[in-house]
Amino acid sequence: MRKSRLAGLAALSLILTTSAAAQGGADGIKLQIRPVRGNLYMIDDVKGKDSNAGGNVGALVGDDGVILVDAMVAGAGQKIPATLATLTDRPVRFVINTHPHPDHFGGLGVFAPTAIIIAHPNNFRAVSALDDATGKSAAPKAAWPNLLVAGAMTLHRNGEVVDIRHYPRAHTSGDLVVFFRNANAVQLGDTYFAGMFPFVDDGHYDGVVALMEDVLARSNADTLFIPGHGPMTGRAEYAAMLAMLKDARAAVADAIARGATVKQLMADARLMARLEPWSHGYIDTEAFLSRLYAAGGQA
Amino acid sequence: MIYHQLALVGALLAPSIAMGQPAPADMPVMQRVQLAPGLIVLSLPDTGNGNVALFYGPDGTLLGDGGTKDIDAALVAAIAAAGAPPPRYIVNTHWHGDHSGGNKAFAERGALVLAHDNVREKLANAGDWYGTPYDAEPPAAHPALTWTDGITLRMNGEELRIFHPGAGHTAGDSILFWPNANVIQMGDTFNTVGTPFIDIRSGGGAKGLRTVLDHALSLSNGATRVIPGHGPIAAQSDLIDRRAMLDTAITAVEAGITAQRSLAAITADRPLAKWISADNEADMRRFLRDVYRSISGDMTAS
Repeated sequence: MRKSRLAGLAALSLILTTSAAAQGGADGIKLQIRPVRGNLYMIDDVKGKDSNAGGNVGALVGDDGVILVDAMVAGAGQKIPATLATLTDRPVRFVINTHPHPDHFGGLGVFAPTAIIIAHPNNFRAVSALDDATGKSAAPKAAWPNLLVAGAMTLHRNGEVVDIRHYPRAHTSGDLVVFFRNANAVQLGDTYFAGMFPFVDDGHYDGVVALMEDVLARSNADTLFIPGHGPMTGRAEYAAMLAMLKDARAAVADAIARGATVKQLMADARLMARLEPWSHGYIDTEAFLSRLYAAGGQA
Repeated sequence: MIYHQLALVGALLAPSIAMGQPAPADMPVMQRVQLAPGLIVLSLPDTGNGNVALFYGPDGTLLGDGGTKDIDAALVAAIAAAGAPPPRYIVNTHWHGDHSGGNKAFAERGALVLAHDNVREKLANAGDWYGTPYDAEPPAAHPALTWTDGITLRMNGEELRIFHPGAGHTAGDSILFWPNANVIQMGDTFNTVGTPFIDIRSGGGAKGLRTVLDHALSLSNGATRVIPGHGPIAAQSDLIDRRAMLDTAITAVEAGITAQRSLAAITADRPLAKWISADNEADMRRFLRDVYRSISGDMTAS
């Protein structure tokens, strides 16, 4: 595992934690604004890779009010308004939640009083379901999404055209991807970890591949790709991720067809060397191959 | 009350085409029918304005359609009389001006306009409606939030489903379904005055209309109240009857086309006799003609 691939390690570890962890304080979190293009910005923590603030936030600003994409963990979400205030004096009107993990929805409650919270119906089910043990929902009721979209929808605000699309079974069963047509940027939530092995929760690698192929088909050489964690990238980096994923899945499918075990597959030194650069603190190469193998390789 | 199709056509004119409008001094008072707590139908019968659903509660007010632009004062007064806050959302069941005419005024007072993608496409561009040119609507009237298939709004204790089952009356039809109140708002995919109107030039079609009715029926039961685009509140049995009439027309037209028979020959068979009365004979002939035009693609058939 290369230390430089540790981007988002702390944040990624939050994915599988309870919402209690997502209530973590804002100590040490210092948010920064990165221009994307036009009136679109990305907000993340200055600590970047070592941050526990949560996933990247997109912010489209203008006279019609702010459209946010994701809201970090609760503690970090509380810091977003002050950060936005350096860009605009308009209120947040919409928050699009890419998926129901607490490092992306934890801060929604900050904006719920004035904003429409947009999510997939499966996202709503996930955050509103009562836990058998605690009797509590993952998100407080006031922060549950109130506009649910199962297919595709579009916001025409601030001179921008924002297309919101669901892709079935990718990172989760409730992923939304957000396209900013004029800014020529796409925000991918955790279906994209920049430079790092993808992680699948209740989705499937088939869905990740289908999503990536569709997003690539909708993009061009100038499109900017905003990942759930890690730095914004260009199209080449995104295409390289898909090529790596296909390469690894083909190797796994071949191993399964030959009757080889996952251990025998990992003895392929050249494959391991090709994949190693994508390794990160949460999923190293062996863990990635084990997950692909368990998922059945190529569909 | 029989609403002849020609009268309806006048009401259906594109939104930028002005209609005769009442002066504020003689502002009409909208009729109201309460369907559930916080859900009222507002209407101005015989004026060509579509029915308006007023849905309100702690999460704010939503209008299902907004009539023509000429009834703004009457609508605002009716909303206030109900004790509802100013609308936060206005939904268009389709682009016609007797349903979307209120967009601009309510948007300028802070409402968000919601509709199918096609409604924005139609309102944002100039066009020609059966030979009558019309201008694009001003930007404030354009839906700011649009869908391809639909959305669900969680508000006021409901999970209000707003969705596009198919292109029936127009290519941009949406219907609204309040599951708890057990109410469906159909827009002009279902009217209780006049004969069904398939706006083929706006992308509507007979088979798409049947699909819309089937979706509405799949959501309904014997206790469902149905808000038509125009006319009095209806029940599931009325949807079933309308679906049967439409299906009869489609079946007759398809069989006729297969047998290479003309529209005149199909009409002479009187396949819709069960639904024809002295009042509506001409309109029903026009309806069968539109089903034929929609299925054959021959817009000159008459």
